[in-house]
Amino acid sequence: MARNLPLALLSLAAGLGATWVGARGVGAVPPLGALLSPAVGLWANTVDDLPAQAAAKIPGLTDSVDIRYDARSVPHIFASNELDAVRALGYVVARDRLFQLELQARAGEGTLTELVGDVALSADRETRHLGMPRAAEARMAQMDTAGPLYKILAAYAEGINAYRTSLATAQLPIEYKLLQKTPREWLPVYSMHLLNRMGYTLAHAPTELDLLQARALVGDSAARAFWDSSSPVQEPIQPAPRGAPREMLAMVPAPGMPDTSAQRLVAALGDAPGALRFARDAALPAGERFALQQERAFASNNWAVAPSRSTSGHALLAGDPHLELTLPSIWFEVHLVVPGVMDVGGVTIPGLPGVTIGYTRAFAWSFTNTGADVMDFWRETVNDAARPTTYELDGAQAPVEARVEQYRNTAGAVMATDTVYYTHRGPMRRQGSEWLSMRWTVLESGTELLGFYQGLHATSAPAFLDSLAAYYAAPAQNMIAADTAGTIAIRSTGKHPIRANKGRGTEILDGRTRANDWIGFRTVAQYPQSFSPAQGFLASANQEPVDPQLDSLYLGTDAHYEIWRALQINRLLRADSTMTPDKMRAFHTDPGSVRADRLVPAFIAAAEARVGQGDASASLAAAAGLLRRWDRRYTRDNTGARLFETAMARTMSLLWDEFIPAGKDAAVVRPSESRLLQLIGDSANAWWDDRRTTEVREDRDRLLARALTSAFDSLVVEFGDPAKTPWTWGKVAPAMPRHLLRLDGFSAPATPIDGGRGTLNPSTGSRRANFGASWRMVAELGATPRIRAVYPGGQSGNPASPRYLDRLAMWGNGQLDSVRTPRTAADLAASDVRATLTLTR
Amino acid sequence: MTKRTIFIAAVVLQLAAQAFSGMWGAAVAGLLIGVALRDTGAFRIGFGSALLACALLLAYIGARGGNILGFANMLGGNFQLPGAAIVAVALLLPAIQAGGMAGGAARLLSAEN
Repeated sequence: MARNLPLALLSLAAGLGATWVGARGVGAVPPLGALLSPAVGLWANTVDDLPAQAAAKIPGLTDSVDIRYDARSVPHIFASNELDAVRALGYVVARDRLFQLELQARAGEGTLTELVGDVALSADRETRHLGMPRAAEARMAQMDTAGPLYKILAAYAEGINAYRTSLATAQLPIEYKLLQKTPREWLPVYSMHLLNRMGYTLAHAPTELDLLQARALVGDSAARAFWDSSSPVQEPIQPAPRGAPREMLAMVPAPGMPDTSAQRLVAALGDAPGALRFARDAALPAGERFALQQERAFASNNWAVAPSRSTSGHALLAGDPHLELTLPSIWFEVHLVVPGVMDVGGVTIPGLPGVTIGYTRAFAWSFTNTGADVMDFWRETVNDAARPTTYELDGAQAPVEARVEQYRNTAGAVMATDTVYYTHRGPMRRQGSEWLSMRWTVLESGTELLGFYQGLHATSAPAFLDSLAAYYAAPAQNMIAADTAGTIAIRSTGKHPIRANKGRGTEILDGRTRANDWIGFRTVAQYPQSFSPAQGFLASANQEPVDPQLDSLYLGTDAHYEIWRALQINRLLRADSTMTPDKMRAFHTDPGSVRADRLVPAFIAAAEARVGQGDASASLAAAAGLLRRWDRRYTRDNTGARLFETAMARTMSLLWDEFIPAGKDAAVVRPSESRLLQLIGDSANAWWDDRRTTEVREDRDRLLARALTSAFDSLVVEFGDPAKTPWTWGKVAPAMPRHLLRLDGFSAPATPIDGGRGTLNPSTGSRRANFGASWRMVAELGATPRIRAVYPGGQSGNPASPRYLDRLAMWGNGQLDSVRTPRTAADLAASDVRATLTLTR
Repeated sequence: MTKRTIFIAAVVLQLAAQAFSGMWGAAVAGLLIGVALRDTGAFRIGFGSALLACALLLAYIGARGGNILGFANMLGGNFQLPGAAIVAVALLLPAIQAGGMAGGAARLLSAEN
């Protein structure tokens, strides 16, 4: 006994210890026992990927549905009625994207903590403080359960849940196993949450605080020149009657004396996160926040060419929405056929029962974000600054609605509780010592899906856009369409508020009177739009939708828009009247940059001027030489773009020193890059002077040369001497689609691409925010539409699947794949069928 | 029974236990092996049978088309580990569980006590 006991205990300790570590984890080591078990763990996800033949049941189906997955893993759904097609859509989306469905819906619901823990608490708080879940719930409560929208949402939920409940533990998506969770039941309201989430992503851009802070630092006149005026270059979505962009490079007023009333309000609003300061970036230093905001290149391109300018004589359409590049992609490619009723293909967002961007037999369409100002704020006068129950309105006290928000952890226990207040305008939040209420069109949306479903029955591009306009509220989109009859059309669709007293939405308003409320919305006829214009093409790339010379009704300011890609795509389209689908494909990754073409010469000229004035800096000479040798194209093998980008960043930080408040070390606001075009021509403008250098008064050349020298020196430290190790763009700014949970092992390898900031194919190569072309499509609208498309990633959301990353190389190389468009199941050649799925009751 | 027969029986037990109950199966089967053997060598048999059973189950997944090493590399990327280390942990964890439980139980119940 004496001899055996120690060994027995030691042995048991090893066995029990290994079991404990495997079941509970230890320190940073997660509980690996279940995860690494061959039978039920992660390994099980490496097999049974899209079996060649499968059958499943959805209880609500009225007829069987035949699904053929083609060689590109796109499911072609052949159903006998629309609702069965929607049920099948829910099933196939869940089959490949079950975890993504839940994650995205929870992001819009503000319940991420229940899935991933307290790391998501600040994100959930922001979602709920913005009133998003309340709006979704209200929408569902008001929805007619016998109406078409509810039926669509319910049918989609049936499909998702049929798949979800069919899964054994071993078949759960990897992410659920890692998080030790199981998928929850999908409810129709989750689609509303996801719609809100898209609104947050695309239409949450208040700039009131920027203008206010700028006024507090440089006075009213100078601040408004940057934050309350239109873009200095006009190349609008609704074509202006001219063959070139209109430039308004007027002198910028010099920085003036601070506006004291703005100073007081800025002080009252404080520095803490709140209605106007977003919690998501609150922890970042100001400098990094600007970089991150630029890296979040929420943007997109779309354009269409009329038959008169296409070689084939058919209308052509292209689109590439720029969103965060995630794995799996935000998009899932599908094709739905209900004979005689519907034949639509394209990409769906998992969680939204419809095709968001795509094609029918008669037309194709794509979207870019309008970016208009659809969110305003009012200062409210409340009865109790700590727990308001009423607010002043037209001389009386109006009741405040209070909604208690509880946040739960992964075990379901309450981890935090908030009260969110509401006025008649929307959610009211504290910002410093002020209470600010907000009105936001995203909270007033919800019927968008009906526009899509009705639009699918349209036979022309204008009719499709009309269907969308009848139902579509938010997030506002520049909807472009082209049809087989040769019509091309574009319309900036969504609720565009009209402010009282010709207000511009740039100020925080007095909430004590309804006279300051929105007085209505633009009518559809007032939306920026164009149908088959004389110029023979249409293009949008997040620029100001309509030239204010033609339509002065406020839509937004320069801060809401970007000019560079619009200038580039219009430059390309104007230059070529013999367009082909392949040229359109090449445009998607065109490395040309109007931004570089306009601004690089300024750096070179500044360097030459400084050298002429006796500046003997070797770095300056080397940097200028490097820029001179660069062709200003963002090809993956170019070696000049990295220097230009860094010099631009340095310029912005040196130039806008006037926006650094006393006691701070970084600017709190920065005008858009397009303002440089105004300043470049005015070398002695007071803005060029860096007030931090009291011994010298900088002019344009001195400041640009200093930025260039500083950029060169820092890059030498980071990447080495460019003469020995060239700063090859593809290596220093690759695309890096990341797993939804930011797991490096499940993320894509760094992928060199042609493109960069301001080009049609944006790329910043940042691990913090990695955005780019999330879907590319070119459609030729002949008698039978020919579609080519690609997105980064693959159809499967399972990292262990061969279909997880199978499209990445093609996307990285700027190629497109042929999209199959069978009218019937039999039209798909047997050799092109990867798998079949039969759904029955 | 010969040692070879005992080992084969232990492997069969581990295969069934791990296939149906994962890591808990490995531990319980290890305990059963120890109780059944009540002798020295139980640790080795528990350890070896669990390791072999796990390897066979992984091989079965490989035979069904699963890319074991490729996926192991992917998993390892999440922990800054090579894929081989992930495979090794996958094999060793049930082996240590089963060996430890078998060895401990056997010595506690052995005839010498």
